[in-house]
Amino acid sequence: MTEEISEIKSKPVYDILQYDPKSRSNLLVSEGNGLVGLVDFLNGSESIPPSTINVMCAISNAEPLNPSSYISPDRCNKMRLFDSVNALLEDLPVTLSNSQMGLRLYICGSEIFLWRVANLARAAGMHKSEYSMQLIGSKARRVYCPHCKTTSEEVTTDIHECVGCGLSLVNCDHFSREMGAYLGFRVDAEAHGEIPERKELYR
Amino acid sequence: MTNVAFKKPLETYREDFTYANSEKAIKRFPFPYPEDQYMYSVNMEHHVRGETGSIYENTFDVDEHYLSEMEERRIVLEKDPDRFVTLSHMDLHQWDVLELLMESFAQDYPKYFSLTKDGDHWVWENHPLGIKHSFIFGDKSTLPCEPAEYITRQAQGDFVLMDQRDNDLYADTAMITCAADWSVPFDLGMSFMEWHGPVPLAHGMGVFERALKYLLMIRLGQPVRRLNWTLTINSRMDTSPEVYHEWGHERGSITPENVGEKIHLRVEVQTLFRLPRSNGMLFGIRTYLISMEDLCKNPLWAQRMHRVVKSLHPEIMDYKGITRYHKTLQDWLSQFDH
Amino acid sequence: MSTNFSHTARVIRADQVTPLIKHFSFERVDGKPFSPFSAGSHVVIGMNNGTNTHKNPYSLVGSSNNFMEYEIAVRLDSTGRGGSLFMHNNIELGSEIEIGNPYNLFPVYKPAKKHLMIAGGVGITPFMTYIDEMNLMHSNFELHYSVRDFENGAFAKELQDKYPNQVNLYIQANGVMANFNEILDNQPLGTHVYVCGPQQMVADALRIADEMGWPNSSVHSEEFKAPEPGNPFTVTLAKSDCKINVRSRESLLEALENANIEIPYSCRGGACGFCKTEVIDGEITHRDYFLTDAEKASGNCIMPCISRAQGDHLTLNI
Ligand code: FES
Repeated sequence: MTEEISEIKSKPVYDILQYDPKSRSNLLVSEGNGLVGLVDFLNGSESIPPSTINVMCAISNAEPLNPSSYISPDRCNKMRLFDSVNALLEDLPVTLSNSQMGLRLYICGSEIFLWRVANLARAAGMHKSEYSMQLIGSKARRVYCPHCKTTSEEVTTDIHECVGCGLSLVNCDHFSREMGAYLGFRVDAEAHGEIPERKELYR
Repeated sequence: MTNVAFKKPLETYREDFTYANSEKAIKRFPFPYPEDQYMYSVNMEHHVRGETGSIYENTFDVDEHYLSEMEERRIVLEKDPDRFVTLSHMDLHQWDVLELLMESFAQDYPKYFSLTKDGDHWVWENHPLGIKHSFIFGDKSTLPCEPAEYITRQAQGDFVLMDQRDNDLYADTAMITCAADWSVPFDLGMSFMEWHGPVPLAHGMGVFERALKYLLMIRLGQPVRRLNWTLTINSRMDTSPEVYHEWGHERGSITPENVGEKIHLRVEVQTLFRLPRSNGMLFGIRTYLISMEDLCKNPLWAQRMHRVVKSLHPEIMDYKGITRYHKTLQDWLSQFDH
Repeated sequence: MSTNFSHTARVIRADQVTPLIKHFSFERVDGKPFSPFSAGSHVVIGMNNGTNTHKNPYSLVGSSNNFMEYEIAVRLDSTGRGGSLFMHNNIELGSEIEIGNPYNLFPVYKPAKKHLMIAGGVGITPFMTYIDEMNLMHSNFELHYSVRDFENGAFAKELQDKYPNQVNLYIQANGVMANFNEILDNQPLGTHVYVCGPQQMVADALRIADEMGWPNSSVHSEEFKAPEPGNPFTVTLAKSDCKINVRSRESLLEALENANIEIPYSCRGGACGFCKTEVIDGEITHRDYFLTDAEKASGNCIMPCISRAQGDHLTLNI
């Protein structure tokens, strides 16, 4: 189990955002640099009626990007800025619960962000065909530890110490959409103490 | 009528590993290899009744290990209640499974189990486990726990309840205490392809596409089955990732002297049933363990085991966790193949 | 092994619920209960008219909790091939028929947040069991049911009395038409729509749902149709080395069955996939919903319950 496992079918594959011309309304959601993906998307799909577009962006103060200088007000119905990802994620369920069939959701940002949003969308009853996502930004992983059931956030290396039990875990490409996390397991389970050097793989 | 000599005192699947097969159990062991070389295939057949005394005599096999295995399940659940998990849209599936297991047990083993129905008022008796319970079918509040948990605490093997939608099967309820290295609750809610994601080679061969197509069309009253296998060190039922940090090191404990006693062939008889009320599917995973020593009492099995191990594809070997002790095992088995 | 399970059953009730719809209840002649079934299931009823056997699929309409009886509702179709006519005129109290195991091609989407049902005429039948299930599971549901006139609305009164808040009845004779645009508009995220009724109504509802941005995954319709008559042709069975004539008013599947060749089936309407049969020679007119376009183009398989030869012969690999 310690060798690198490849070609695991549960590992998500990302593409660029695809406009679904059947949509009646479009909700664009981004975090950090994900804004760039939204801007490209809007530039590439000029036919989307601006009145159908709503935008929600999380930006921190340190962020060099200011969404309003990239997405002009006449390109969308409404643009809302949030000063943290959490603030955006708190608002999103309310927005979705007031939405109707015909909505398409476009998500752009780090991998962790994509799945946090996708899970809120699913909780609101959306089917995977109703949202599309593009990965821009950090590929850092959430890693689930089956031994202690804790999920470590922002893991950038193949091996890390579990925040819950402290064991050295190696993460594989087996991915749970429900959890938005990769599966980890003790790297030295078969030979205690044999911990290979960690490699930074997910930035 | 089937008689079962339940093992007493209870055997253990952990610590001192007192689990052992009787002569009878060895004889009926589901040896899984049709050929001298192993490769994945969609090896499904109708789950029809087999000869008297065989593991296919009844719809669900209850054998000499019944009481021990149920105790093992209790221990695992006590330490880790999440080995039973369910999503909220699975109520009908759960009642389906409760009904299927209770009816099959009562019909196939009247000496040990009985089910009396008066409309929705049901009385279930499980003599070996000393259970008698009256409840209202469809009313969860009349059971001590979720319906699928209730009945699978009384049935050998693991169980996954799948919801059928989007032309796919989703693993939305599971009782898993003897997993061959896959994790519940991590896999909960996964589609068929995602769930089997980590299996090497088979995806490229189209095995899962074909299997899924076949499974989606399974009909009421026409269950199917297939065999799967792996190797386990010691008679450990719970080889789940949850406790991998506790059992993984056993893979390094194999020496030429202890191969026969420690390495076990682990065979899963997987059954699939269409569930009537929910249109879902029950995936039963009934695990049988046999030590190399006992297995090799049958010269034909011993010879074939050697050939299968010798020709095993490296990726499959790795996925099944055999790499570390492969050579020791192959050398030991070679004595049976001249 | 035979895959077409069936039981002999006897009619224990037969009511004319509307001028065109007859409601039957059956029990097994061996006194045993039928299998439980899921909402939206159909069964195939086999009836013998003395010379041959009609086999037609019908949705189960009975309560999904009483399995001593199965119930169906049959609409008289005077343009059809006689199955419904026979049910109306010849099947009465005490008649015996064959009844197959239930199969479901129109299941409820369990995780949906809300279920929206659109029915027209006899298309109400699968929803009778849907509503039972949704009521039992405390699901959020809404039914929109169009009928020609109140007299022709099977179960209309019963449904309205039981679920006054969820059932919307549209009586065309009174000039009240269901407006699919309005029905499908403003439905909350996570709603699934199910449509069953006359072909044109289903097509309209599906088109409007599509225009209004409903994804395919949230739109469900019961798609199977009755076989249509066509030109007669001969079929050669390569393995059993024999020839069979298919008459213009029978399907290829029926012709094979009349020659005692058993093919698995469930829907007999081109949707379930069971009857798929390999073709070695001859052009095919495909009418099914099951085969992919590539399979249809390849010309090497046919769904004999509904599709026919284009020319005057076919060779099957059976
Ligand atoms: S019987 Fe269903 S497709 Fe032919």
